[in-house]
Amino acid sequence: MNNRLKVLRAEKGWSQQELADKLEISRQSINAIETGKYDPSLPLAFRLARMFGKRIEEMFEEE
Amino acid sequence: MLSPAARRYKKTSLSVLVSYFVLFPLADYIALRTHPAGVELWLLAAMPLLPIAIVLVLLGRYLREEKDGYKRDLAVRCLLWGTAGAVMVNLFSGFLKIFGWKGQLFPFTEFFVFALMILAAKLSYRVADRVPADE
Repeated sequence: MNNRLKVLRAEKGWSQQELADKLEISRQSINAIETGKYDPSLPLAFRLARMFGKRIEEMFEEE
Repeated sequence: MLSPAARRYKKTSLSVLVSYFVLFPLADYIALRTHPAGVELWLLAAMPLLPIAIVLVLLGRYLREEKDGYKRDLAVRCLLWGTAGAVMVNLFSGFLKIFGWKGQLFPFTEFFVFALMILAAKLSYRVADRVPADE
């Protein structure tokens, strides 16, 4: 699954650690999602979308 | 940074793993001194299994409690590598005996297999969990 997490995070000026802390997950998870190594669970995808004020389909798309 | 579930697992599993390294030599010592047979031998052989069973239960609890899905997936994958290695060595050793080999792969094969399984799982977790510097 492709995602725009890295771009959206950069727009907010957040580091991976800062975003991870806000979501209470590890920085490794953020890195894995950004690099496409890991697809987040549905609850985490919703939390990410809420965090950036977007809809899930605006952040994630099928390859 | 460890998650609360990982901290709990680390704290409780360490003492159990240490007990394994005490119980196995103790059981071996008792076996050499008393030459048990029948039920006593079975119980003695089961003694070092207790910490292994407890560690597996603790791992199960960690997997249930870990809220970070990525960390949970990674732990499962690394445990699978460790378990696969342990199973392969044990099966190979068992097959050799079934096929009539009287020797031994190396002393205390079964003892070291569990220790190696944990070590392999931990090492593969460390390697896979490394990430580039934060941006």
